[in-house]
Amino acid sequence: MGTPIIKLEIFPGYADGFAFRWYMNPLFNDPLPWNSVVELAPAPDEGWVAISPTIVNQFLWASTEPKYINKDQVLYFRVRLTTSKGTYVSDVRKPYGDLPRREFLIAKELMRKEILQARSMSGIIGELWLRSTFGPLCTHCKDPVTGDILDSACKYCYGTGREPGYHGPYSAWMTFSPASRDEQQTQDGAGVREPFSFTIRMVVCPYAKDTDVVVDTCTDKRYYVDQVQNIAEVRRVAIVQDLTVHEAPVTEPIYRLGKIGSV
Amino acid sequence: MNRPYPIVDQPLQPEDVASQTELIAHMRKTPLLLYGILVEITRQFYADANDLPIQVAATWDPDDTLSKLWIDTDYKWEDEHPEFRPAIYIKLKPLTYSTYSGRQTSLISVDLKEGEYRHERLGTGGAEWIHIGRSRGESLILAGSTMDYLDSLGTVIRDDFCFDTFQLDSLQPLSVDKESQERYRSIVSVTFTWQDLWSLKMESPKLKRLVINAGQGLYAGLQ
Repeated sequence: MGTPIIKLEIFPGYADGFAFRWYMNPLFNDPLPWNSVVELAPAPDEGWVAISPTIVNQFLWASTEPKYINKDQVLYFRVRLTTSKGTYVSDVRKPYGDLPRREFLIAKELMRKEILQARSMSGIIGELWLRSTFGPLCTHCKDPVTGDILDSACKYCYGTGREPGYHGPYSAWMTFSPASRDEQQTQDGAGVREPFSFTIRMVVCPYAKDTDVVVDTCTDKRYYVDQVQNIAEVRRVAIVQDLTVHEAPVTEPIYRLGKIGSV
Repeated sequence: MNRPYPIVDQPLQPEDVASQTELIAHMRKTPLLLYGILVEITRQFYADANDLPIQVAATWDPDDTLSKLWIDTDYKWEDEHPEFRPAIYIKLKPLTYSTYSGRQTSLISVDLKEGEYRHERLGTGGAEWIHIGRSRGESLILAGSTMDYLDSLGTVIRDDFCFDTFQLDSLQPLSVDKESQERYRSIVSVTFTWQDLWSLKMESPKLKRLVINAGQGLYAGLQ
């Protein structure tokens, strides 16, 4: 197996620096904890120095300090992952990711204005928990033959089948739409549904996906992400996203996320 | 001398309790009674972890703050915990009625002396246990557990609750519901039959019994 870090994305952070997101191979099964460090070098093959603290079991980091360098200098980034079984490094990326420098700065300005709108008008600081699509498989709730999750309220993986079940929390400015609330019987009467749906507008840092969890920190309500739509892109790089979310019933295990004593 | 042991004839319950008790054997199998029977046996089964297969993690508790499993009837609007999962919803299928004798009416005999008309009715019905889980494995393990319970104890349920037959019918393994998340549902079906018996005491005058002995006139035989 080569590097288990299959992808490293660099995009404009809405703080002052770059934001980094890396993805692991779903088959990578080293025991936790997974300690990651973002590294910087002036050349792709030497002089690597860590610029982030050690990031444990998380896969997103945004630098908070602006970096002032000679405009002709090119920087190189990579991620180094350390587990109890070994050390692995990602492929090397240039700073602007998939964008040229000019578009990178335009994207950053779009993000800044989006954050300004949320901070000064209608946004709140919410939390995003990213559902695990990689990580060690949960050994507590899975059927050893079929791999089926037999306990959806598993206290180790929250019914996701991987440990940890969710990565995060990642704080971000979010703008909630007015709620659409309804209560209805299912067609065959098997229970009452409460499809309380919202949309949430936020910058793509972090990038959300279906089944992720949003926490409204003001009310501690939890929402499942149903759908993600990019509503602003620069050369196919997403800048602003619109999440369609459903309020989760209070009996869902995700209400334990981030609580003291939860795994 | 081999004499039977003298049995003291005492009521099973004190009279005041007995007067408030109605045995299932004496009750008509109304839909509400059937829902009650089926929900109760399911809750009792899932209330004790020792009854359940080792992989079943969810148990039912009368205190819904402690319960890890929701068991209820279908079409219940007063749902204290909407979308509580995993859940088992019990749904009655249509009930159909006929007679054992094949007659078009339920009348089976008439006691002319007592003025009683006796009726019987054959009921046929079914029920579904709809298991809804957050994962397919959870839904399948619950459905398998219910299926095993209803099949292995079907004769006990039949006898305890006065059914003529109580039979496992089918198990639909998986389908998907869309709620706040995709949910998985597995359905276990049973069919059952029962017989209701009742008699009507007619208000019309009873038929007088005529005893006519040889040699007596008709009027002399009237009692």
